[in-house]
Amino acid sequence: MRRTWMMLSGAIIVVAAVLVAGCSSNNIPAPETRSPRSSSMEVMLGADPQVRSTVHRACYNCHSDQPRYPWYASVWPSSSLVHSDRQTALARLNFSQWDRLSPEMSKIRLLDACAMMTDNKMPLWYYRPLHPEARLSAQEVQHFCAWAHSLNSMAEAR
Amino acid sequence: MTRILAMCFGLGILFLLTGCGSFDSDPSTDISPAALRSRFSPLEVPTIQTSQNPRVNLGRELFYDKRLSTGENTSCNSCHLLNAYGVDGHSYSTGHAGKLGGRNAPTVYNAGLNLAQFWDGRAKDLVEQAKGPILNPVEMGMPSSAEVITRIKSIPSYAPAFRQAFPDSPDSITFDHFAEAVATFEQGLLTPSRWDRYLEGDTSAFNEQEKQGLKLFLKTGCASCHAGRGLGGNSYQKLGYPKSWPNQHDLGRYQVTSLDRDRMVFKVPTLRNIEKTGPYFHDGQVASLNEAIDLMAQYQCGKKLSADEINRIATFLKTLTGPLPEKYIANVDSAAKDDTLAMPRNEAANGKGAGR
Repeated sequence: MRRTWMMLSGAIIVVAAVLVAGCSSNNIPAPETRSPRSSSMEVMLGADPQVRSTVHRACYNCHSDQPRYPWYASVWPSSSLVHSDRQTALARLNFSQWDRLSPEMSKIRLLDACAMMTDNKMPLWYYRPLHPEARLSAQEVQHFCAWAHSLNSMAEAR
Repeated sequence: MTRILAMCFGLGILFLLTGCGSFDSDPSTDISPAALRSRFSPLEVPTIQTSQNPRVNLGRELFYDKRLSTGENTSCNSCHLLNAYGVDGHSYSTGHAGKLGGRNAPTVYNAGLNLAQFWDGRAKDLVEQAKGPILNPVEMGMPSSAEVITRIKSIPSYAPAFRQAFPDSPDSITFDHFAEAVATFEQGLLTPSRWDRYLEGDTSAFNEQEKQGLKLFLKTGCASCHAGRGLGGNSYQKLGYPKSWPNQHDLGRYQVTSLDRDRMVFKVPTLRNIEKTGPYFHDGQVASLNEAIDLMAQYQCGKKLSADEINRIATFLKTLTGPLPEKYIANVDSAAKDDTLAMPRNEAANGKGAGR
């Protein structure tokens, strides 16, 4: 009996170690490849405190060079989903690399983000149960969109 | 307790869906002109009579003038053939003394829409760009800006042309004015197409196949980078993300900034006239448009498209070809600057040609 328990415990430890160690790259950017803060959307566009707080809380995990990974991001198979989702997310929108966008593209990205939040497509439905802090209130979405539209009106007026 | 249950449920779903690959949380595939205009804008060609603009005329003359190269055999038009959609059809262009350039010559059409110039964005605008190739030892090879000015001053017809173009300057023939005139001409190299008519609301501008291709273009995620007026040209992106690009020799924007984050980052090229502007990518190593679509889907969007899907996207991309502005590019005085009269070097092979 004792031997069986020992074997079982050993097997659990081995499996856990394999799951943790065997996870694919967790996609945290190496320090030297991270973008400086001066390249971020919030600095380049001078976002107000509420916009900053909203995007940091609800978007930055997937859409920036500063992800904060949950424990399941290190365990296969969920690690592979996290990894793949983050790649898609960064290809579409990266708040840390705003210096790579023209004013035209900056406008497109912001209005896209506004539309995605307004249509309740972001944050993703399956992300929300595990990240209740990422939920957005109607007021937060409204504020973000109003801010994005005001930037564009100012740009057009210039 | 509820939270724990929700976490377990969420985790279970995650585990179940991991095998399905990435979720396509958008992109919107609404192809109504109104919906498209949130990401794309039609190209508007200024209605000013540019042929009456002396600065444009001067810029056009300079663009075609081979005498402004060390060997008097290369002009801007040698690599950016205006009657061949602004490219020469080669992977790398041949410049001074038969030397090859280091990157594929991008089209000069619609270049004014770009956020910066050159593949690595090292020139902030067309004026800065115009000062590059003329002094580049592997392009036009002039030894210095002073030599360029001496050469221009030695051609009598340029003195009145510069005076007319820059009437407020006591010394009108300067290197800055040379670049400004070329850039002013290039700003007018715009090619609106059926795509612009569609965006403006004329949905009959596209047939059913083209609409299907547009839908697939959006669904695949191409519009993440190829959006705006130019369908590209308005952002830098890492080439080969999520999948690493095979040719890692040219590090792109890293050569400008020396920042590790800029390794393999390039300016996203415009898709306007894309069917006419091959070979593709900064190294010009891909000859066919279909192959370029296939590679982009794999390396940038993480998707493997079928041959049929690639054809459908290509069908849409061909709607981005606009007619060449024949009058605007007409090279009136062409004794020493006759590139446009010659067939593009690869025309026979590629089936490229003016207005086709």
